[in-house]
Amino acid sequence: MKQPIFIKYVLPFIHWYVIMIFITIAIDYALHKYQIVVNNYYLGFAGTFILLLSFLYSLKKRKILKFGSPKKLLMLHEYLAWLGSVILLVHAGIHFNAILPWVAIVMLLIAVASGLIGKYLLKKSSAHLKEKKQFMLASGLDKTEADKKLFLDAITVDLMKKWRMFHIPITLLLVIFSALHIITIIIFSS
Amino acid sequence: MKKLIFLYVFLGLIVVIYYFPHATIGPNELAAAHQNLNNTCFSCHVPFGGVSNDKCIECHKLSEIGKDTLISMDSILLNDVLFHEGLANQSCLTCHSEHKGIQPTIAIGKFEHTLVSKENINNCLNCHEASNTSIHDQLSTDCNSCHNTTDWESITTFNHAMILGDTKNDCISCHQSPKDAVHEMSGTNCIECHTTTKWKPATFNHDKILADSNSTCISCHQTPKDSFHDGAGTNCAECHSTTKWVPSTFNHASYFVLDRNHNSSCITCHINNNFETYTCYSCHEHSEAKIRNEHLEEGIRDFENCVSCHKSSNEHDIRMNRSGGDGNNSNENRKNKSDKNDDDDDGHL
Repeated sequence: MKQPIFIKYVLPFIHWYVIMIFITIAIDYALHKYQIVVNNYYLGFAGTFILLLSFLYSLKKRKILKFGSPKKLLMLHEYLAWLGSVILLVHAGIHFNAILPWVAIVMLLIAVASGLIGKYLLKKSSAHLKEKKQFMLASGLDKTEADKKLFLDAITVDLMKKWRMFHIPITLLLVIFSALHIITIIIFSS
Repeated sequence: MKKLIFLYVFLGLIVVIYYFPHATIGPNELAAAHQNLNNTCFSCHVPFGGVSNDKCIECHKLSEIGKDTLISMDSILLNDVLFHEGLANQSCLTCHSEHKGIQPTIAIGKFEHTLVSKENINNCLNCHEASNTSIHDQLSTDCNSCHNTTDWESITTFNHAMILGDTKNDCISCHQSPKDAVHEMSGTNCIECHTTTKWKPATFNHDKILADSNSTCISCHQTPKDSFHDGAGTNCAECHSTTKWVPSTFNHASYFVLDRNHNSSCITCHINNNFETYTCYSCHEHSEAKIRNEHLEEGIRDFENCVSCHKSSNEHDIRMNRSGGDGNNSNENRKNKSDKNDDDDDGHL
């Protein structure tokens, strides 16, 4: 039986996004309620470091990184970016003061939403390529080779191309705003 | 081309930050007096060095700090104690902070008394105004006896030895006299009963009350709500003393000795725990018919009030009533028949 598009593609996206917001609020609430003092700089360092780790996939895609499976690095990119975002959201808290760090947080939220959309677009594209895989196997191609080829094909289909035109600029803006925030903190702090 | 766009965005943002630092990167409002420094961050900040004392001292001379600010703060006096000069080696940020809002008091952290010189730390009134409440007016200036430097409200046990002069014996100058009958009769010399360490227990001296002919126990004490005391009247002193409520001096033997078979529960003789009356007929040995026959044989017609003649289970220990019937009559003789009837020694009435 064919699942409705909402359940198959939209619901998982909302699910991961809502969990991220919920966990952030829960952590922030617990820190305030139990008066746990966490050096906010450390949260910033940790979140940024985890986000940077998630960019290993981007390096692999641009063939800068020579090792690692693209599929595994993509999975790592998804989960590390999600985890780093939670930490950075706790780091930001709900303080509407300086504009620059807040724009950086908004960019982060948009980038996570964009990433989750991309995750399910990729899933949809992969489904279309299943038939192609059958054809390749039937034509005598090795299974590992077929998987690798199909994975690379899936992320280069038109839909994914259009998505990347949004996701990458948003991510770059996030990097710019975050970098400026970090630089100003370094300049003005002891 | 795309790379150039992002480079221009980056550089453009740097320009915006340079011209509008307060709006773009300022963590919060500066204090009201520092509002003119909103967009001149390096008035206080040293690049890559945080906030140095030197920047603060450029405007705030250590010898001047407090002259125009401490006097305006609640409960702090301007005396000759402008202690900031002695703190030159401390970071200003130990006590003060910024970007906490416009109200200047918000920018001051909790005052760290350990930074104050020994000379001043033991003399609170050098900095603080003495409290002018009625209690504090009567006390010495040894604030440490009750207060500490972390919290004004964390008062330890009040040391009454601190009270000056005759006030020490004038409790109601600080305490309110309780509004109850006992204390209204007691005068104001509280120390007669209470101590300065605890309100209770008190050592009440009844002699003072007993001297007043109008006073009775129930003027102050409530009669216990049990049937035993319901019938006991109001002369508590018959059984109780003024020093202790328990044990009382009530002695059942003065009415009837509860020995051997008579050592039973109260309700056996006092039906429904009514201590105003009693009956001896509740025991099979003392059926009404049997008692009647035995007493009529002796010519005794009034035998209802057993204890008027019988004081114990020894049936030979008898106080004969010469009037021949009134058991409550006080003209009674004790007739010991034990010499004559030693054969009946079963202990029953």
